[in-house]
Amino acid sequence: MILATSLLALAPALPAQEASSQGPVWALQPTHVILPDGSTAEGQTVLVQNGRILGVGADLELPSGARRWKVDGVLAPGFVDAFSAYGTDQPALEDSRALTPMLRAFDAVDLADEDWKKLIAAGITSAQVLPEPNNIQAGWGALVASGGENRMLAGRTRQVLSMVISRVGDGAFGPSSLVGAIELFDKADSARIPGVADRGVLAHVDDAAAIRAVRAALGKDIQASWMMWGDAASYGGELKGQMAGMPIPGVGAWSPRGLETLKRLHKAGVHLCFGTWSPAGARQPGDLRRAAATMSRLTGDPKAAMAAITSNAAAFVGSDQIGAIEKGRRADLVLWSAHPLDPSAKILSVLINGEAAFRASDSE
Amino acid sequence: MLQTKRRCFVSSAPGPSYFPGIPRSVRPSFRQFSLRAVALAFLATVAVPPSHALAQSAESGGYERTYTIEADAAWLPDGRMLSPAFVTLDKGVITMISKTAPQERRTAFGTQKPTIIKVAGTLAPTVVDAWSGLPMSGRDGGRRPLPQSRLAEDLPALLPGADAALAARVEALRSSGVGFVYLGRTDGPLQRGLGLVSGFSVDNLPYAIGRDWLDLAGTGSGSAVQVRGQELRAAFESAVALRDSREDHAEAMENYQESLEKFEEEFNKYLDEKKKAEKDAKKGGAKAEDEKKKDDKRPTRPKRPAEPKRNIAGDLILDAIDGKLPVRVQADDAQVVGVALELAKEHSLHLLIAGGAGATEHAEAMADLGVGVVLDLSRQLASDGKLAADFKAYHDAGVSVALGSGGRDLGPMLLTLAGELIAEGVDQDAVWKSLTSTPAELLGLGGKAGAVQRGASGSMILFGGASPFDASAPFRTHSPK
Repeated sequence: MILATSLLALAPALPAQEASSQGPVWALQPTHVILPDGSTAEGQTVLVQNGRILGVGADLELPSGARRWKVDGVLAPGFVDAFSAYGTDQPALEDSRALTPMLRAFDAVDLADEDWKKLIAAGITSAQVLPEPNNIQAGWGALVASGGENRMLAGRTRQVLSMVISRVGDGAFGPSSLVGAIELFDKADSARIPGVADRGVLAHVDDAAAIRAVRAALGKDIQASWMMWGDAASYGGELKGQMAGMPIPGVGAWSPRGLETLKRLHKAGVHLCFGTWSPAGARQPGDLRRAAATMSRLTGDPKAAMAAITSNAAAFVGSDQIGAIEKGRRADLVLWSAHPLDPSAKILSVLINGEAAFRASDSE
Repeated sequence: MLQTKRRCFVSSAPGPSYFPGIPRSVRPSFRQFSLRAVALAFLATVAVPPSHALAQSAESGGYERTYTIEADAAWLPDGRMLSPAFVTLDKGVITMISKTAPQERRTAFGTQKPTIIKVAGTLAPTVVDAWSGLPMSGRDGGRRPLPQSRLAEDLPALLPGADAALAARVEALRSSGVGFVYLGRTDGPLQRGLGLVSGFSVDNLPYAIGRDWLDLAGTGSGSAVQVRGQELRAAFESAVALRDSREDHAEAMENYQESLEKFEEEFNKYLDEKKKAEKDAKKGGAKAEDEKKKDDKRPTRPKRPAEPKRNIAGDLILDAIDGKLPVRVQADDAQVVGVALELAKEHSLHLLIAGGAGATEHAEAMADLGVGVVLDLSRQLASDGKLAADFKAYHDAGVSVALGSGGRDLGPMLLTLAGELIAEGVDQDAVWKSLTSTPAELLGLGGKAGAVQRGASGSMILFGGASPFDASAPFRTHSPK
């Protein structure tokens, strides 16, 4: 209660991003803070100014004039929906050509869509919206903040490549086999698409041969994230040490093999992340946290599970601005009544870019 | 029984004819073979523990070890926390709970130290999923369930490897914290067979516990067939009519017996008179013969009353009316639930409602009749707060509320979805009871499951956080050995 009152009082008073760099400094002192490595620490202070995190630590010297807010609760980074279709008012795809590298998913985004509010209420402060993986070169993903001002955080995150033949192989414009997809992919020379060298690619794959083809075509210097389709147990070993997105299984899809695959991918060192988009249709925003809780139960590694919906998801998108409570990152913060992986925890307040975007009292 | 079979198999092993192609000089003689067979039979019965090698007893689930688990704490049924906790298991059942370690035992062979397994965390009972989605498809051959189809008969034999795919599913379920399940068919007509309550064996195979349940379909999620209240009532009325017609038939049979006896008397009398008339006819000639034919009044044999038609479905409902079968009605619709409650009142049924999503208006009537409800936890996936509202409505009215998977495979999400109800304002103790002790009571497992107590199952979960719901802390399950 104290916490709710204090942070809610704090929230409207927090400065907007466009305020001067000399804006007021807020010293948030929650009971617990989830650190970038996923661990939970007591007695931490989080300094916020102009929507950014100035610093985090136990023995931080507070700048003169800093306004201190001591609150009960667990302060966690806002969740990152690593691959989402929320907030799009039309599908981000163009089926008349096999290659659409310049297509931007952001053009399909409706910032006024009511779905964004659902994401905020589920603690998701940013989401990567992706073009549909119907083309070998599908276009650019976009990183969008769920609320606040200046919501387009990145108009071009990763160039989306799709080597999933069930999606690209329509026979008319796309290839009809994996071999044909690889041939077209080699010819298309994705490495030369303007922006790919800097921003990297996000490749949809369902086969080890597809992974090897993408790697061979791009070379070692281009960053790659991987979107896993189909039976990841058959090719997951190829993705050790890589950022890999895993669609959240639907009800009834938690087969023993699926559960074992998730455990083994984690054990093998694949950096997993979750998103609400899935080949079978969009999941509920709340499913993101549920997937992380499931991963935590299965692997016994809550840090990795938290990373899957925060820091790993940010790295998957290619952003170092979100996904952790760390100096220099955006103050996208969620105050929970308990650890966010405890399903009995409630969201008390959501700050996006340092501004209040959700208050528990408003929804009651 | 199988043990006997095994002995028979070994000892009745055939002689030399079973060694084709082997020169007679190196073949064992029949006498040698018989001696070996006897020796093998002895080894099979003495050296090999029967429960490992052969089918397990359905009573014990094949558990046989005795040991003590030392944990940081244990959640007891009355809400108390015992810390530290020493829980002793024997053949899969809790035999002792204490704050101190069990003592060494003196036996004829000397002192015996207890086996103690030390674990970190708090012990709690496993979940009793009162509406499981454990897929049994394939085991019934995909047949359309008949009213009398017993799911218990589709269960695999309790032999290691009897159904590897099902065992893998059960293992995944157990690692999610589920120890007991209600298994019933989720599709089919009004009477979709007989469901059962199941535990899991040492080899992760389901085995039936207690009585069968009469599974009746209604409306709602997971039900492919939409049955209206009138049909439910009609099924019971038809069963009652069946009983009435049987009683009528019994009465008619009594009358029939009486009239049959009367007929026999009359018929004998008739025969006597006929004989006499024949004698007279011989004396009187053709005229007397004509008179005889005119006076021939042969009595008519009474007609046996027709037996009522055989009606297995009706018999099952009559069993429910007689209290021999508990009844589970799967229904969300208020009208169907209302009819089910009326029937429960009229016939004193042991009734359980599965669903109840749109029927909270009957909460008080349910509480008065002692009818419990199993809410479908998969509804929480919609994150719309409706499940929590229903939970509170039933719970506040005094209804025994259980939570189940709604006939779906929720996997490790089960505890997470239940935990979300706490965030939505349902009391944590109430949620925990709705997953453990309440479904155990409703399903007739009271004392055997849903609580860490003497005589209960040794299947337990071990959690490291504030509650079993908290996925940010270690969570493990303990299945007896």
